[in-house]
Parts: sequence; structure tokens; C-alpha cells
Amino acid sequence: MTMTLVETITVGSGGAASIEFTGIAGDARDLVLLLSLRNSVDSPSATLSFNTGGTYSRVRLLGNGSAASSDSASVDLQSNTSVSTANTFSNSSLCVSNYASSAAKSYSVDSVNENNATLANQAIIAGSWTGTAAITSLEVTPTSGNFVEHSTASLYIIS
Amino acid sequence: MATPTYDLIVSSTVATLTTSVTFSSLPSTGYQDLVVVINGTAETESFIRPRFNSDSGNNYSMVRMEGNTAGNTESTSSASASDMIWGKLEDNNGLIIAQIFDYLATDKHKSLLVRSNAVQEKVEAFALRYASTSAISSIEIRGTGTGLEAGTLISIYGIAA
Repeated sequence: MTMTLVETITVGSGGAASIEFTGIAGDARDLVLLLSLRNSVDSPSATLSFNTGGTYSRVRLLGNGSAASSDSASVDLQSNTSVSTANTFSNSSLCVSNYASSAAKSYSVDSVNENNATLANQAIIAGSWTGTAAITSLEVTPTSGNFVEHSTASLYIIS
Repeated sequence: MATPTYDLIVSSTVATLTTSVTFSSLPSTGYQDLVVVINGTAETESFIRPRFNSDSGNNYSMVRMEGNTAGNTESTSSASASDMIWGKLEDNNGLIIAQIFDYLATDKHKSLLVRSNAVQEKVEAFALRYASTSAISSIEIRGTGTGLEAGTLISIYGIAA
């Protein structure tokens, strides 16, 4: 009964079009994913996908350093971009509760990007995936471009 | 450096529609913080209004922010309430995560951070204070409105110092 690191993926030189965890065992209760991301182009977001199929719903509260807004977002994560302060990466956490259940999955995201400027997004997101199968794979994909070298993702299980 | 832990202390799956689930006899040693995870549904909607130590006095304060599917943002606060608000569950599967800090402290009030994810309608974040110097020994998860549906899973984790 503890929180256990399953795997850390670090993007190597040349970047990566996505980060994917596969073969996730179904013998735990919750999933926690911690991310440090930077995109190769000026695109500040990324999405999550579980297994295959199903549809996603989201509601997001977003602050950008000068205003707050909310929407039914089409993305899950903030990502630093090619124009963010050099050597900075976004920080995000994802929690999926009861990920091996036969019900639709709810998830919670906290996400910020780092930038030495007024504009820096921070978001909290409530998400839902209609899939009723246990989550066995999880992929993080930038909206466009690639994740650059030194981007990392660490997957934990809580059992 | 101490070994960090994230131990499941207790969990309960609601068997039939109910308005309250109580976890008593929480550990009095071994942990510093608690994390409560509520994953489930309400028949239509149910506000989650917990209490600690069966305390219905006016000892709970909070400030919250919200973003919703209508595109609105909101921030409100309340002081000296007789219970807490941890957000809401709806008939879609929802997720509430509450962090309770220093729950055994007898020399300070208890602080909480709570996230409520009701994806059909809104996402909320709460900061709360329980104005008591008593250690927290029990948590009652109250679902006002239509209550907690069967299948709702409530888990309490302990994080060691």
C-alpha cells in the first residue's frame, strides 16, 4: 500500500512526437503522472489519451498572469514553448482515480507553464474519459511540434 | 531523510444510496497528512459537506475559485460555517481530492486544499480552515441533496512525516 514509481521517460536528443506509457498493470487504485514539458514550436498545450477510443470532456479554469477565464477545454496540459524563457519547462500533475474500474474515468489536472514574463498560464482541469476498460496505456501528445530533449514524465501508481 | 509514504488507511464503496459515510478511529500516530479521494456519482447532484470529529459548530471557513462550462469564473468565501464544502458530485462520474495537513496537530487550526472535478459543470479549488486545535480522529463525508450513489468509492490515504 504505497505510491510507487512505475517509470520515468526522459525525452532524448532530437525530441519526441509523444510520450507513451504502455502495459500499465491493473492491480492498483490510482494513477499519478508528473510532467515537465517543453515544446519545439510556439504551441503551449498538450493532450492526454488513455488506451484507444472513447471521448473526453473537460472544464478548465485558466489564469494567465493578468486575467482568469474558463472553458470546456480541448487540451489537458500546459507546455512551455519555443518562445518561453530558455531552459524552462512546464510543470503538471495528473491524478486518475480508480483507473482499473469498469466505470468512466475522472481525472484531475494541475498545470502551469514557466516564463519570466507576465504571460504564464496556470490551469486546473476536471476531465472525464468515457472508456470503461481499465487504463493500460497513457499517451501525452503536444498539440503541434515535438517535446524537446529533457522533457520528462513520471508515472506512479497508488495501491 | 524519512521514507515518504502514501498509504491507504481505509476505503469504502457505497453499497446503497446514502447521505453520509463516517470514517472513525483515524490513526493517531504514524502520519502527518491525510488525502481523501472521493470518486463517484450522485443521483442528480450532491454537495459534499464533510465534518471532522462530529463537530457541527461554526468552525469551518473557506475560500474557493471556480471555472465552469458556461465560460464563467467565480470566487467566493465563507466564514464560521457549521460544515465544509468540498464541491459536488453529479450523475456523471466525479472526482474530489482533499489534502488535510497536520491533522494530528493540537497546537494549531487545520488547513485543507481541495479540488472538485464535476466535469459536466465546473472545476473548483478550495482552501479551508478547521478552527480547532483537536486532532482529527474522524471524518464524516456528508452528501447533501440526492446523496452518494452506490458504487461511489471513498479512500483515505496517510502521508508520513
